[in-house]
Amino acid sequence: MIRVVNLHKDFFTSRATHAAVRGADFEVNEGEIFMLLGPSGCGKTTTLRCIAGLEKPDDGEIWIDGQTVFANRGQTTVPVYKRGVGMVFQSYAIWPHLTVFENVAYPLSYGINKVPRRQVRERVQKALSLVGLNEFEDRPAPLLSGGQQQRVSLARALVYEPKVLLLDEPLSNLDAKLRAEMRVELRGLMKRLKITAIYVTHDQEEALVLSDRVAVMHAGQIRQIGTPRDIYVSPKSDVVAGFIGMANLLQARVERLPVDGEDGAVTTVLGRLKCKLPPPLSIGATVTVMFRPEDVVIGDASSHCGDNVFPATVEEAIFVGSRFQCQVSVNAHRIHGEVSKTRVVTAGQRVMVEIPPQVIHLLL
Amino acid sequence: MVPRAVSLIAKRRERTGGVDAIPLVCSWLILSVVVALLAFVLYMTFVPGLPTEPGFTLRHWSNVASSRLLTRVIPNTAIVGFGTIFIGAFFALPLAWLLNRTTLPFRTTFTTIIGIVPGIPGFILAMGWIMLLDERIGLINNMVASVLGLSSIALSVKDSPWGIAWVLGLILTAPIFFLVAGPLCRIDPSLEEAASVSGMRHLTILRRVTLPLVWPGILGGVIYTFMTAVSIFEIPALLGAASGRVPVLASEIFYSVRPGGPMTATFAYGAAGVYGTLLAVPSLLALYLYLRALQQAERYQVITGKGYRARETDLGPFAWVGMAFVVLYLSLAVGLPILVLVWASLMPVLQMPSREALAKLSFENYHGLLEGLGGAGVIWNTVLVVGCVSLLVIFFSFMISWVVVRTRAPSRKTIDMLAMLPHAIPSLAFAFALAMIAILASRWLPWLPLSGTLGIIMIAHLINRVPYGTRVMNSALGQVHRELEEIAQVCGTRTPTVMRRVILPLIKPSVVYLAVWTAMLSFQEVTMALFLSGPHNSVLSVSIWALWEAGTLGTAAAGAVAMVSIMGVLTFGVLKFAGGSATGFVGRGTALPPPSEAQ
Repeated sequence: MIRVVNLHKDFFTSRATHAAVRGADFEVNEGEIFMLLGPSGCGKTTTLRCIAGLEKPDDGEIWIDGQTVFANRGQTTVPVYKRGVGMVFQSYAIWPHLTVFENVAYPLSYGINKVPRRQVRERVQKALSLVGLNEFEDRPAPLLSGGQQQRVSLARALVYEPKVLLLDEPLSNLDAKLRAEMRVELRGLMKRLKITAIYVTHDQEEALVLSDRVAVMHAGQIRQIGTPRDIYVSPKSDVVAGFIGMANLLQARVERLPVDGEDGAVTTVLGRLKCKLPPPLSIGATVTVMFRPEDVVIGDASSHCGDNVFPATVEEAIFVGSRFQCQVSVNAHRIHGEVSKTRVVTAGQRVMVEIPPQVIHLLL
Repeated sequence: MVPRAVSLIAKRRERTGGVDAIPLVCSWLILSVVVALLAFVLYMTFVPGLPTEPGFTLRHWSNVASSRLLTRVIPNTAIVGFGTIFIGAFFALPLAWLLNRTTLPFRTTFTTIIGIVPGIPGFILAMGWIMLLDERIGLINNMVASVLGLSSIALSVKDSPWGIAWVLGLILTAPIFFLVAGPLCRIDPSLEEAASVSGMRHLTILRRVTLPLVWPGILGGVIYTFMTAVSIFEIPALLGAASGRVPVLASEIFYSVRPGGPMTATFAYGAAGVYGTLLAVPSLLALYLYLRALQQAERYQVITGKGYRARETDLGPFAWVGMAFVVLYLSLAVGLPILVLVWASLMPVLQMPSREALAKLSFENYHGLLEGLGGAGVIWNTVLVVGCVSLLVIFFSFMISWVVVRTRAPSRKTIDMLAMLPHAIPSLAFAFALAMIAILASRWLPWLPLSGTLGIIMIAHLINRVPYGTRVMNSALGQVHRELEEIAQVCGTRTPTVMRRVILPLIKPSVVYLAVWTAMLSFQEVTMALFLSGPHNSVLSVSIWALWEAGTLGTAAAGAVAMVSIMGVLTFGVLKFAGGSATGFVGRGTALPPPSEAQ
């Protein structure tokens, strides 16, 4: 449905040229919710704006619904108003001089999506009911709450039934509780309408909840594309691992290759770790191992010794409601772990830490 | 075949930026006229006589060294410029503080009145002041003389550069007031509170924190006032330049091109060009300083935040001193001159108020007014000029600001600079260049209606108002979040629709404000309209001026009173009408930007 090939975009400031997007490549399938995830300044919003036509890329190609909308360094360009996409901005961009109804009716009243006057009311009402705002039609837009403005902006983007919906951090101005509700609602709505969407966010939780596939961007490049679970469980690089969820990353050297179904082993600052090793590795190679805090098993100091089990001291334990987030030091090296709220851990406590082999993931 | 060609053209338009070319073309259209006119002024300084005649000369420039220019004209101009700043700042700075940062009663009313002062034609106030303070006819002089038992008091606003500076200073207080008031009430109170917490005393805070923060505003106001004061013609002319006693650069230009005064009997176009250049040089220097000050202002971003409410000082028992100061200024700048004009308009001959004089009160002067002014044609001319100039200024300012604020056109910085240029060049220089071009046009392009038409006055006004118009539009457009426009494009509408349906409604308060303000200023403008006047393009202000020059003070006073009344009614009406539906949202910050021009 959407294809982006080798997208490049530089920004010129008075002092320097800043590469915002450096060769982004991806494809979004019909009806898919595709997430561009990355820290601020990674080029995700620029990529989205290039697709909408609000920025002119320096190089690359963009297809929407089988039609080239940008190619040959701008020799072929379809202007914004002809691209037929819907968009929702972080700031909502609700026109303050119009009522809710007029805001949503705008695309149908003027321009390329114009429909006969009779149909306007009907379609606006339909769009407003999709987002649950029927009763607010005549309200001046600035008198709505943030969440309601967000819905108006969504209704305006959906009212002309665009092929593609582009969302630029649409939930980040809402408070945490509303944001969590809207995530689920938004996904439900988009799936119900079978709409193809590209969604930009820096919020990893949003990415995991909402998307069908996630592209993690970093410094203008796409580092990994996959389902939320793929990205979480088997990140390909430390950047991806570090951005999605918390991760313990350790430099390691291969010590023993796996033989006869038995795990291999690596040496790290913690000590020797047994883990699965993919075939092409040789002894002595350096790799990075990654494991998630929630996979670290923290037990009493008296519990057994064994493979991948190390004595440790709790340095810090923060109660976050559902669990304790801990930092424990093993061989003077801190790792993140979690302890269920049913146990109480305090700083200074001696514990045993186990990192089961199956949770250890290798980054090459 | 045809659809294919159409689609090819459409493709090309899209590639070159398509519809966005319209604002760009409009911007360059007006700005190239500005540049061409300036180049023409320079060119004139090297031509012996009319530009139609051949030859090249440096004579005009070598004449600069003439003793009259160096010993009289330039010193007079300097006294007028600096004296005006002094008088203006003397009133404006305390007023700005009193009306914005204290709990003085009736602050809003006073601020509104000060906002209207620049709308009162300056030459009318000057006429009032002549009637108040003149050795021969001045009412104050006669009153004091009769009290002291003297035959006359030798104090006059006429025939002295200081008198000119006094009147100009009173008139130009308002622009300084608004330029300072803006930053003064936008200062984040926490900056001052921090100073007060760290143990500074009240006056120390004012000196160490507040003043440095509003310094760019003050500097901007001062520079602007200087530039306006030295390039204004009609007030110095009334107060002594016309008689040749206090020649200033502005009057030199005027009488070089329109001889008839006592000083010059011959045309001296080249000399006028030189004077124009001489006037433009300090102005350009000042503009440079002004832009520097503005850049600094950007560095003081802390003071432009919104939603603050500046801390207000309670004057306590001294409130009446503050009130007295404000009332003093208002009566000097508006009350007394207007009162004396009303009095004069009701008198057959100007005389002291007395029982005998009261018996002579009549509306005699008003009866023949319309005829005296030149009939209904003059009124129609005035309405046309005011209306068209207003629309033209809005159109071109919007287009220029659109390019500057809304596009990434590589030339947008240049366009912004050029749009500011007429601000630094005295209006008289543009009028001069236009007058010259009109003379040429009447010779070479007889079909082009320029000389002596309303059109040429409109062009002059348009050029003169564009800098201010673009400032208002820049800040208005700058306040409209870019995404509000982008989403409209995404929704499938093209730039012209976006402008009409989204941007213009959003900045409506600023547009209305700009329209009213421009209309007010072109309504009262004399310098350019007089310079470019012919037998058929006379406007109201020029007619009143002519009546005064002809010595019919009573009718002139009646005209002036009528003009001020029309102005007042129109202004209040329009602002009230617009204020109702245009309150709130985006334009609030710019609903009343500093009316930084009062010319």
